[in-house]
Amino acid sequence: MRKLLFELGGTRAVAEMHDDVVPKTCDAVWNVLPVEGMAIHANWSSREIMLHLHGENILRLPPEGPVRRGTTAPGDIVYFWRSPQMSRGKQLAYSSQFQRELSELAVFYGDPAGGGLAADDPARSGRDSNLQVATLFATIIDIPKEFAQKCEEVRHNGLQRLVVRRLERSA
Amino acid sequence: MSDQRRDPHVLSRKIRISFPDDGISAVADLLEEDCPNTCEAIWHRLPLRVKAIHDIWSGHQVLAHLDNKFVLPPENVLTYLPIPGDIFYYYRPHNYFRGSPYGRSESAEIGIVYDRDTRPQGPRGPEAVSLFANISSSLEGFARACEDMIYRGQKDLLIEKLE
Repeated sequence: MRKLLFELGGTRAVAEMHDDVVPKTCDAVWNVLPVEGMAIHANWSSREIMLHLHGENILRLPPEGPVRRGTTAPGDIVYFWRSPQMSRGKQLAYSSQFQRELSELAVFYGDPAGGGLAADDPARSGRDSNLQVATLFATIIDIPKEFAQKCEEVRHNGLQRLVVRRLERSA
Repeated sequence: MSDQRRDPHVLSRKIRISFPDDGISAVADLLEEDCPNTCEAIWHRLPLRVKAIHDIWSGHQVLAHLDNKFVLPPENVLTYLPIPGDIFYYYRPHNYFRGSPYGRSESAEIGIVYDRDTRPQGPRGPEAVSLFANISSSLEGFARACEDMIYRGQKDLLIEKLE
């Protein structure tokens, strides 16, 4: 099982990829690592921060794995993509390159994690036509308190740099 | 309504809501016909200088926590979806939610909806909120300042009587 390292504000968290459930998504994410950028806090789906993928790292992947409904658990890492035609208006300054398209890694860091509405977004789900994809591909095991605290600080203090790396076996 | 109710022919009272550090403000009309008791209670608490934070469940909405002793019963409860510019009062009692959302096990707050795609809700889903005011001018600039909180975090919010 491959592992990912998340670094945020001097804190770290390790996630295990779900290679056995969504191998293609895991491969695609793995191949763009490392990625970094300014993490932004969710405003619909509770305790979630997101890292938007930029430039050559933008991923446009098809759905994979079981259809998810309902809650997203603390520690879940979701690959999310939304077609430009699905969003009203431009997405904002953090991803000017995308305008209306979203390609991101979403980290659900806390409890309660709510319904994960942005990641699943049943009201605007375009999954049947592949206009929107939300694939759970990794989970942080035992989220370090300091890491969760740093995630929460994003909504109090604004954007913060997040780095996602491969955690190689020797690391 | 009691005989203390204001004459409905008198123009509604107005409040100014501002982000002083941004030099941004908007004017809102109190909905005294539909939400008289909440309007009255809030009017008498003004001016309020509070810390506003962006909501994480509801969409395009910011909120400010008040003193927890400022408890008002539900009134003019929002039926379903608010419109941009709606301002509401909300109270959740001690331990209403598991844990302490926003670091508080109990919370009295004012919420401001600044764009569409918004539904006041918490961890359990939609919440009943008392709609007591609506922004009647300068919403666009104020909305941009609210949205900016996603990127820059909390801001001081000033709510004043507009005599």
